[in-house]
Amino acid sequence: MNKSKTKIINVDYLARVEGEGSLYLKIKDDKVQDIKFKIFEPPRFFEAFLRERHFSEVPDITARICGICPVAYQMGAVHAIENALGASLDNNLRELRRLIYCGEWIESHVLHVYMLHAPDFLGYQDAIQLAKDHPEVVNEGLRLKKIGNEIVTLLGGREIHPINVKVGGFYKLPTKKDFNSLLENLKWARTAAHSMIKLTSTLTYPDFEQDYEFVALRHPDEYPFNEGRIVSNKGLDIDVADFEKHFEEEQVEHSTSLHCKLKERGKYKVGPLARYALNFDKFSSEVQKAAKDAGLKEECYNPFKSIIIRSVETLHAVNEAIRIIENYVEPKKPYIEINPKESVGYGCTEAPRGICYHRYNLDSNGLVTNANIVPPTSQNQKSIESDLRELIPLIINLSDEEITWKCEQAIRNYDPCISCSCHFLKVSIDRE
Amino acid sequence: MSILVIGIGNQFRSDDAVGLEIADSLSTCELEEVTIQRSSGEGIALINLWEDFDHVILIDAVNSDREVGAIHQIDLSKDKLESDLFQTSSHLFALPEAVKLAKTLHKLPKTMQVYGIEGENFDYGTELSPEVEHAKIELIELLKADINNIKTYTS
Repeated sequence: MNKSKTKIINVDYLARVEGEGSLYLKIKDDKVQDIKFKIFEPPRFFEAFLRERHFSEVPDITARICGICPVAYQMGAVHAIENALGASLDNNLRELRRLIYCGEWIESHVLHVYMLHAPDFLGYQDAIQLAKDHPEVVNEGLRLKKIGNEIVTLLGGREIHPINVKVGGFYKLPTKKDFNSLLENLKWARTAAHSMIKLTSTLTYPDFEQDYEFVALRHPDEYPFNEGRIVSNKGLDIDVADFEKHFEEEQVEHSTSLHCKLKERGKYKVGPLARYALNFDKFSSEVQKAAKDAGLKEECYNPFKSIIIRSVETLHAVNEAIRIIENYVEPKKPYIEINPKESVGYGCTEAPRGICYHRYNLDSNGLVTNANIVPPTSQNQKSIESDLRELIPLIINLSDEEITWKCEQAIRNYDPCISCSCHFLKVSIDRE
Repeated sequence: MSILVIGIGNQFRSDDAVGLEIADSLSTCELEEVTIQRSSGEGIALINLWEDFDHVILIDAVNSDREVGAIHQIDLSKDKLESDLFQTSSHLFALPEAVKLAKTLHKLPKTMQVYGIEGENFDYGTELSPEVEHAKIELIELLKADINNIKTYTS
């Protein structure tokens, strides 16, 4: 009789992900018994901090949730509050909101592709080792990321935790002249983004496709940043205000981050693969061609290929930034006046990692009475665990070290921002 | 000759804010030919900040077994930067990695001094520990002297 064999793999600290997380795997007789993608980043209670704060303070507080994607939190917050107070921005201000988001997508995607994810595919431990053999690749990444930072700095006042975004618009507007050197840099970035797509298209990918429910924003006229309906490839098509009717967060013992699921169908996936599949037709013909030349179809179900899609989205963000700057007309006023009233508002934007939902309840003085923020990494946790459950049987014969690396790579497919996702913890106390 | 001073930290993590507070203090001193920056410590942004400067001074909180408030000084032309010292950052790619990557890509400035102040409390909060506050004042004076030295030997 065969002896049953149990193997436990514990990765105490996941490398090359933002924040603190770990992975626990229990394998018995070559079958996965248990998987836990553990998040132990301390809970951050942001929704509680926001209570009793005036709505004008919310963008600056929420920008503190993340150092990598602060614009996503600011945009979700200002759009939700403007929704609550019935404010509608003119097109020029709206374009600037899209432009600052282009900056964040460029810097976040480039950091992930070049510094965190590419080393996996090229067999290097990290970007430092990669730089020894391919300095030109890493130098290109550094220069591209800097251009993303420049956009955020110009519109946000500083590159980390920007402070220039205001409910109703911006505190201060750039002049047309301020964009001159940036425009030159963006023209270089366009060529660099094409080579980024080419580079990622030549990497070797495992044959691993999953039947995901993709969830993303969809806008009638544009690839989504700040606006749209929440849609999925399995029939969901809802207004942002109905998010909490269709999605719910639950606490699991092994994570300080809540797991979000669709009430009807459970796990789903947000982020580049979802946006791409649900909005391919909104790319320009140049971006569509670059994606097809890279071997992608109009939908992609292989999470490892997210690195190509991030590169395609980088090209889109660069082109969109060029378009907005070339057509920029300085708005007459940097912001519109907004008066408080008792209200509730909803916002959902496309953070680099996927949709980020916000709800704010305001009283008649404009103070926040309740807030709910659902970041993308909370939404992807079930999908991450499901990917691992499907992947491990395919790699079960590798050494523990190789299994660990492959699993880490599979988690990095999601570019998880763990520190963002931990801002709430439900504490239960049993007393006897 | 160009000098850049970067204060690194998180202003809401108690002693971790000391680098930022020093950068703020130096900003009010009107030091000629000196650029002062604040940073969260994300490594790629650090390289982007320092790549156009000849002389760079970095200030951060550190966490080792020395007494609280101790001032560490690391001259990167002679000393190695130990990753363990800078465990206070939650960034995946922070100062030690940035220094290694910049070295590989020949993007290190002519001189780079790293100053660290041994912290005690890295929990949520906006107050420095008394020993760290004291060390902050001492380091500001040291830095002014250091900046003058750089100006003297490069002029």
